[in-house]
Amino acid sequence: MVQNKMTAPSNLSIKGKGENLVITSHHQEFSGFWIDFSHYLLENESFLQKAHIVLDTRDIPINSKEMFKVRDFLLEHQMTLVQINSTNTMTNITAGLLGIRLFDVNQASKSEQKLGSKSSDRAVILRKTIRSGTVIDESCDVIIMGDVNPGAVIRSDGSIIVWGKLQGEVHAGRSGNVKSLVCALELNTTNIILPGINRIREETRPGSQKLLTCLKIQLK
Amino acid sequence: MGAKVITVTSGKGGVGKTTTTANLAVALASQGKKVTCLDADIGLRNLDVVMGLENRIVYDIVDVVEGRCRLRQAMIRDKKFSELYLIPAAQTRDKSAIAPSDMIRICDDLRPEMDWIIIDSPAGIERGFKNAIAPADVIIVITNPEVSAVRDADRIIGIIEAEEKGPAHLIINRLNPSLVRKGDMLTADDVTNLLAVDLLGIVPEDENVVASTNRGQPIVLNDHSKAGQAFSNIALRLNGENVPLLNLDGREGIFKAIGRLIKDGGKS
Repeated sequence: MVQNKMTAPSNLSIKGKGENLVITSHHQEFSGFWIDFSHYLLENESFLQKAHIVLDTRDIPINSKEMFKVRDFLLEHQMTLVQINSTNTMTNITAGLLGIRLFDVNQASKSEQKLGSKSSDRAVILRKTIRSGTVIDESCDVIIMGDVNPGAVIRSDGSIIVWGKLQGEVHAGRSGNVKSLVCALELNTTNIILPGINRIREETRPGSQKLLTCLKIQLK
Repeated sequence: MGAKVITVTSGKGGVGKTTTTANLAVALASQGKKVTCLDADIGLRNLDVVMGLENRIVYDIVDVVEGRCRLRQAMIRDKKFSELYLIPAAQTRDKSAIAPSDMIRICDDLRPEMDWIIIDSPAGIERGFKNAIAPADVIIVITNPEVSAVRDADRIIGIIEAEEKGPAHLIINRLNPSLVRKGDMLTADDVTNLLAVDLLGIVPEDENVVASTNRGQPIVLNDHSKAGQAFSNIALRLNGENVPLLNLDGREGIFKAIGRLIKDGGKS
């Protein structure tokens, strides 16, 4: 359905990959990206109808309004945004909150690996309830000041600390960091994954017995 | 000033969106407001049936969007309230027939003449839902006090917040106090603690709702129904009045019991 190369503005690279069309931006900020991106799609609208778009926005910071603009624009022109590849934290969090699939960290580029190597120095703090369907995916520690509701997924190469109720799925120390831990004021999650441990809790109905509030690997 | 647009949504199907839309519309109209309901569930329309207007449909919302009729031609006046209108959905099309921008345009056309516009959203989080919330000033999320409905409501609220259309308001529908007492149903507190949004009202389970739906007479018109009273109170709250939640416990307070005993004792 999609050709491998299409004529595009100089700051956009277009490439077919399987069933998806990967659009890579070489812009520094959203406004420049949006002008080239929207013009390109409008000019090729009839050809790109029903295309599945993967956007590689690199380090462009994209807030929620801007991300809606992109997604709704694609929707109105009968295209689907299937994935966002980004090294920018704000963009990744926004995409996670919208339920848009993020780039798989296991296939990280060199620049992302550099970020990951310093993950112990960094932490993302979210002051909100993480709702069902939201995916938070970070290379650094994640601190949530709020609840993590059932159906939410938190993934981190570092630790996950929840100053509230943890009822969603968590995967800490994803890249094998045995120093990572999972903490919560109230731990009632369906699935905890730590290096070497994978525990699925079968009974998570309200009022069911609480687990320990802090899990970590103890090295002898 | 222009109408406020309310979208009634839920995520999960069958929790009472259409029933709530119809009852809120009738309640607001009975309180003297000018109201238009919009059925955004294209392909699976029901709002016309619940309001008893299914035999009066000539044009629908897709006809308006595609230019086959004017907006006023698609507006069906209610049988009881002259300032209550319905714009029905199309039954033979699907959600892709209209876009969010069409919904915004229709609501903008209606705003100068109405006090309230209430949109009945379809279930799900796809195109139909996006169409329904596009023009919303206020979003009401309906849930039942059960785990699966609350899970879906949470998902919907997350999307609403992410789209900066919040804060959402919550109505807990079909609460059954006897099941709650037995521990077989979530309490209102269980639901509000998880969803963490403003509670607009609680509507109790009422077996009369089914019959009223089948007759096309919203339950709010039944003065003896607690569910009807709950919908009336919710409409008052939407208009800014401070109305306490109904006592749905089903058990009498001690003073009421003493009063009843005195009254019964006086009779004998």
